Amino acid sequence: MPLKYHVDVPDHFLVIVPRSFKFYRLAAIQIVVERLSRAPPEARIWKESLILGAVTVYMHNALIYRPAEGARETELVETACQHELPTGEFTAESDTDDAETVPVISARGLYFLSDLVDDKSPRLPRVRTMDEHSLAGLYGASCLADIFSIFKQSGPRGQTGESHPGRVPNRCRKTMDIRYTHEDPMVVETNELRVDGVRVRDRMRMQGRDADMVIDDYIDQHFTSTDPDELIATVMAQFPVDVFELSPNHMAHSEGAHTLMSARRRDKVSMDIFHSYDLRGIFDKIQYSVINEERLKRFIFPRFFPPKGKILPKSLQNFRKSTYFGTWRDLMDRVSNHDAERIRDYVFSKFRLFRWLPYAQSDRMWATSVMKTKSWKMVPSTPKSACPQLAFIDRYWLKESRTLQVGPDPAIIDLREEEEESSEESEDNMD
Amino acid sequence: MHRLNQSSYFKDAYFLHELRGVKGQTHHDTFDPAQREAALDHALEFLDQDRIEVNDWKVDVAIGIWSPDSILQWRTSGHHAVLKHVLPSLSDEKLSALLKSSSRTKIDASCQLTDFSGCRVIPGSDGKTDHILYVQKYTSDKNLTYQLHEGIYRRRGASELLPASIDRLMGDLHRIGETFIKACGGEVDENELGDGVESVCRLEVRIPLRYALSKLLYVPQNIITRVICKLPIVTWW
Repeated sequence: MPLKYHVDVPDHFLVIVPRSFKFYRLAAIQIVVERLSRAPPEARIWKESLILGAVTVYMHNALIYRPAEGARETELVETACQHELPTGEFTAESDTDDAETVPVISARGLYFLSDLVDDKSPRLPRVRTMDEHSLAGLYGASCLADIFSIFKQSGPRGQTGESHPGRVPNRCRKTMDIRYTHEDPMVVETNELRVDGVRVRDRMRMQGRDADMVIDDYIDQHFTSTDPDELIATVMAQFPVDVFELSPNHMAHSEGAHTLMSARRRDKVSMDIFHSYDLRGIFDKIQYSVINEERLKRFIFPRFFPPKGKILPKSLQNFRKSTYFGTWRDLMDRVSNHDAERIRDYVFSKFRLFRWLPYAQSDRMWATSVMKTKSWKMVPSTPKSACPQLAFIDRYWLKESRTLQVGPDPAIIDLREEEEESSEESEDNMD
Repeated sequence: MHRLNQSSYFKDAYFLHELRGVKGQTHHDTFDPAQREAALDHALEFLDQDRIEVNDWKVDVAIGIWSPDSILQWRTSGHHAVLKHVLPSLSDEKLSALLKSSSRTKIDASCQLTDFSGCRVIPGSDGKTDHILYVQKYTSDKNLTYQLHEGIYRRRGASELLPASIDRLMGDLHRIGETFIKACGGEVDENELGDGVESVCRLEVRIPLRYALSKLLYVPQNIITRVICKLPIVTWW
């Protein structure tokens, strides 16, 4: 039970602070929150903007409670506050650019943020960054990709999101970008989309002196193109290469992949591959189901080419790693809802010409488990063992005369015998 | 209780009693011994005094320092002097080490103002001679916004900035702002003029009950004037 003493505290301890200290501080916080709420989602997911948001909430809490002391908050505050070069001896040679700076937290009294940039979204200057997992944790998410999907954004290019860099199976590389393997420049056959009025925005980038000084590792120069036909041509050329690069493996590592294609052939593969029933040299065993166009359009197509703003399932495999998928998601972010549907219609018009394609599941591109229902058939029919699940499109399946063939490619067998002496290449083929 | 102990899950269970709604019920003149006695009896009515084992009990003793129409804040530079009064047996060196120890002392900056702060100190073995278990310095700033349930003044997470909740957050911030205006004695609308809300400095120590009547019976005025800063209400809120 506290006793109340009435004590005369001398007035000379008075400190001069402007009126309504807490109110004005809260008002400043409110202004930042208000600007954040109006900022476009594409800019809200910038790390510099997310860090500013988190530190604003931290300051709000500190206005009412004692400041939070968790490890994440400490990291946040050290990232966001003013830094200075460590005091100590600096010789003329010492490179001040690389010197570790020291956060100035307690020495400055009232804790201010400086150099805020009023960009598309208010943000901190691009000076320091903080660990992505800590930042995501402050927002109650396990990784930044989760936050991107809440804002219905695919996130910066070149990031796979989920992976923990230290864990070997997670060290998932992206599929090979065909621009590195194809000698010829991309041929853009049509200008249909552009003529149709589809407009692709520039990817929203941070503006300001601080942003110009930092080399932007997210933005791939090649993808600054705003020509929808060129972007779609890139996606369509990359698509079959990615599909086969991500082809499934047998359960036992020693048994290798379910596909027979060599790395060299894979890099040259084009959309034509989906137009033939001759699967020799591609698979030695498959199972298939014949589907109608309705099913293709409603279930399979959206898995390969999801609509704008689609939130991807967390467990998604294969797709995240494919280069075409990244370009596609980026393109969807950069066009209007109407244009996004226009582009998807265009891609579907190519897609529906396929005779077959992998029977993609909602979480993976390739499935291999043995399907026991009647609609599934296996070729060859015995033994019943795991093999890739394919979908054939009924429109062609029912009308066209067809010879479905699987097994090794006779041409390649001949080739191998000829090239016996150059063992390097046959090793490539084993890959 | 005996039967609870037989279950491995409930072993060593105990009851925790929390008294609520007693604030202000024992108002009395602190300089009148009879009134003090009566107030204490009233406050401890619920205890069976004969069954109290004095050695088992600890008590938190707090002193509130108040100045009319003012905001009082603990000065960060005064922690040492207050601890020196509370723990007279410690040398200045030991006190400095105790204040700097991050495991035993937490400094709670007031609104991130590093010159004003409260503190929480667990002196551990350094408190043995003076029988001090815990020291806390704080202000009653929080009373304005204190709510037992999770209301608009709750601690917030950054996730409230996400699209689903940012509009509600803005509304809440607006209401908190109104509270601050009222606390300043300002006018929110024509009908409502807020009362200026004062802030009180409190010093709280936890000691074993048997030392309660022999230790720290007063805080000298000269310490108080050195360690506390007084601000006008309109400056603070």
